[in-house]
Amino acid sequence: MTVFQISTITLLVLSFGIFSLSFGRIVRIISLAKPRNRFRDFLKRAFVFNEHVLLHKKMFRQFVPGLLHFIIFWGFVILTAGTMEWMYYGITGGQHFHFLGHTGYAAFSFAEDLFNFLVFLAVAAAFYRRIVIKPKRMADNSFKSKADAYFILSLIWGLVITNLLTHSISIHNGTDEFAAYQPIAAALAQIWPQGPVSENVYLFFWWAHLAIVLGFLNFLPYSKHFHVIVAAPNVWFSKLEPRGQLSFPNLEDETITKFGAEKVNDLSWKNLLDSYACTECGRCNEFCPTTTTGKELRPKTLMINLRAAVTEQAPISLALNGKVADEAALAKMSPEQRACYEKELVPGTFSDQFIWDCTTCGACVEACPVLIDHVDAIVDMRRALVLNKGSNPEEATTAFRNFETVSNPWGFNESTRQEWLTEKGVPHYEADQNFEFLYYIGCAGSFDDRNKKVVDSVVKILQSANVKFGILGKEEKCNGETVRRMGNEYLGQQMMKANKETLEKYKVSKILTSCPHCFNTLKNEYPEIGGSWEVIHHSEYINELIAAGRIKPDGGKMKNVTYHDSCYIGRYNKIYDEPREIIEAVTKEKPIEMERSKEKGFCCGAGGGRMWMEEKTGTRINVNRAEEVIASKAETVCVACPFCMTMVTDGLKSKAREDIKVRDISEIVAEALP
Amino acid sequence: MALKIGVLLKHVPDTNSRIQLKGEMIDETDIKYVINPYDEFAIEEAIKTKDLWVKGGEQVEIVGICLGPTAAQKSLRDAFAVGVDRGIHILDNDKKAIDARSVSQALAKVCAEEKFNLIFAGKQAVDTDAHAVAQMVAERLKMPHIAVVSKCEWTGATSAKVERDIEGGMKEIYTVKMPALLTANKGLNKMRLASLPGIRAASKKEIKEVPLPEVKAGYKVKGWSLPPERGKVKLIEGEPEKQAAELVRLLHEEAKVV
Repeated sequence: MTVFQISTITLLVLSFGIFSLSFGRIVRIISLAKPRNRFRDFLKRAFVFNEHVLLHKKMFRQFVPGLLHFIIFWGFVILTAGTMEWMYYGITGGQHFHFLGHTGYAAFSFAEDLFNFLVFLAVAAAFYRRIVIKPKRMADNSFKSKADAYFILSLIWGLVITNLLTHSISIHNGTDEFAAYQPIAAALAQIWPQGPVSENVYLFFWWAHLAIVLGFLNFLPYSKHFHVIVAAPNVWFSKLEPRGQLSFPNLEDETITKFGAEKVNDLSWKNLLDSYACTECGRCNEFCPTTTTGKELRPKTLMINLRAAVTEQAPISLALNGKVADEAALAKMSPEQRACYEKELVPGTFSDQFIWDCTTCGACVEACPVLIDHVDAIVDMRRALVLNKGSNPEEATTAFRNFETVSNPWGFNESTRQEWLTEKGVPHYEADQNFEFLYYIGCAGSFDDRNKKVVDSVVKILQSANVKFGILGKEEKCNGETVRRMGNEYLGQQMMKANKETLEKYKVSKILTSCPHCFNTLKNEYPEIGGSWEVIHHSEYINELIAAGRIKPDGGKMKNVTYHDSCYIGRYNKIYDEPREIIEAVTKEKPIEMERSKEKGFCCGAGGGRMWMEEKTGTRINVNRAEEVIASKAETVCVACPFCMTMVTDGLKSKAREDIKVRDISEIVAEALP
Repeated sequence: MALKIGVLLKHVPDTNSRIQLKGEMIDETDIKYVINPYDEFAIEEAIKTKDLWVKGGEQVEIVGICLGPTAAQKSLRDAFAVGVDRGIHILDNDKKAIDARSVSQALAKVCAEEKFNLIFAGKQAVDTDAHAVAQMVAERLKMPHIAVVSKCEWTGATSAKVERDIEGGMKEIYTVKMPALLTANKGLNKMRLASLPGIRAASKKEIKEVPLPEVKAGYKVKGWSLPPERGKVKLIEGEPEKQAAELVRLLHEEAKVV
């Protein structure tokens, strides 16, 4: 064995040894966290992996950075094969992957050469973007984060440059019989002076390349670029349940006395993996309503601070081997360690404001290319505050009381729920009377004057299409969606169970809702407690009625309509087209699209229980949206959610633009009916 | 020596309940009962005071006292969930104690036995609006009392600076020494939300049920009458000019006032 071989092997053993220690440590930190079952459904996971890792689906939403990343990603995959050969060459003392056969090796050489060049260009472009264009979404990154990025880009550049130079020397010296398949390295070979290049120069670049590869590998676990290793598994283990489905913790087991995520060690391994997978690209912040309006909550910061908290506590949780510290273990800790171990996520890592800011609109989750679940983590922290300590913003307490005593947020007498509809002669739903569905009105349609008009329009439409439907009247209860997102899981589960009982008593098999929040929870969350029924939103149903010719809106009288997407039918349930088709049927033209629409739709500010809390910091979310409506030059803005209705109306009012009408999509249809 | 705080609380119809009559009696079907909202402030103040004293190394117990029918125990349980330690329920299913005189008599008897260092109550119960029970209890116990309190600050181990609301936004400022009785006004605090461990613990806390002692009511309720129904509203729609013309026509032809 030559010195060259021995040196290579020693370096490899050392590097991989050190790497497996630091990598193994993080794997252990993650595996010691709370369980979460993300192991079933191999095929579905493979599909998601293909879509989001191999094909970079979300990355391509921003084409240029998406393409650059796509090239660097695939470059990595191809060049890793090249690196294997590099190591093989060192270990064997000069062997290539010639066992691939002539054609195989020719293709291999070509691919490596091509990707060396492509990655070189992509890294150059990435430098240009960061230095010259300065994308806004990364402007708030810390110095370390920025330095990290430049360092990593330089390493990648170093990798491909040393790779190309090494190959170019072989080609120049005439020792590479596959030179014809490496056009870039061959072109580069021109730079070398006449006559053979010394082997020492060759070896210098050869070693430099290997050193960069191994340095890179060992740097990763200490950098945000650990992303390179954990992003793919994070996608693989992502949430497959509907996005609008919160977990359903067991609150009845009296042996469980702590709920939600109070401390770092209450987080699940997936929360930890999420935080390691984040590479601080900032896409989550772009359409985030609280980031946009200057509030404390920024989803990117959520991940960065979570990772910092995990890292800070790692030595303690490793020493405890994932167990809860008992008195003896606590006594052994230094005061600093104990403070760190007992530190609560709120207010230790995040302020109350930070956690309560969230509207749960899901823009961050939708934007994240590595499928991080910000919202579920926030709801888990809210649960800890509410359930363990009874701590929440004061206004939330009032809402909780109202939900608890009269099952609606305003505190209206529950015996008057839907009285106005009953007085109009809308029948009560009965199991044996061939009703097509139950119209679940929701709190807003039952009590709020503006939204009663929306329900009135839906009723008018249904009646003119001769649809036989019923309501529950005062037997309907709030379904618990809002309080659950406000962290009051206990009250939420009680409300869900009560409501489910009523729905089952009447053997309901199909439900129509006007409220996207009712829609999402009845459709996606009630199945968790055994609710089994079909749920449709009125935007879907009205669109069906129009398509089937059962109602014929007299189109064309209305013009210049834009549509404001509701988060809970839009992003959460992918109902983007139906409301737009309705608008088109009524106006005979495509709706005006605002910049932030569909997947990028901008929240009205009311979700996640924010409707019932004061918005005291930053600028107002609904005003921000109203400004966009005004800029669109639309004369009417259509909504499909009672809370959007209130928020957008108020936003326009505060800009003194009440001339822009706010209409539910059902209203524009009802108005156009003969 | 352990300190004892008493909280007087009443189980009342939720203020949004619609009261209806069934024959001569109030129809209970649609009525939801809750802790009297002013008593919530009393509960919260008792808990805050306890927290403060416990920090100072005292042993403190909060006892909730409620007079009412069997169902009223729910209000005691709700008070337990936020931190009241135990309860005494003076059972009155037959509604014998119907006025401030009789209720205060029964409550004072229990309070005297408990020997409270401090008593909190709401300034009034929102169902009967007597504004009198707590003060009468204090008088019967020969205890100083301050009503309509909106701020309570402990200045020493047994003395507090207390502000009470009077007309025109004015405040009267007192200092008071224990034992004393304070009645809470809105603005004193806001009752906290029960935590889940608190809710669980509530079902295990002790309620001592005592019979209603011999009490004397000063009057009898003869009956109830409902407020007159609101008149029908007519909405006039359309262009402003047409709306105005229609309004004039309606006032002239239907209402016959112009």
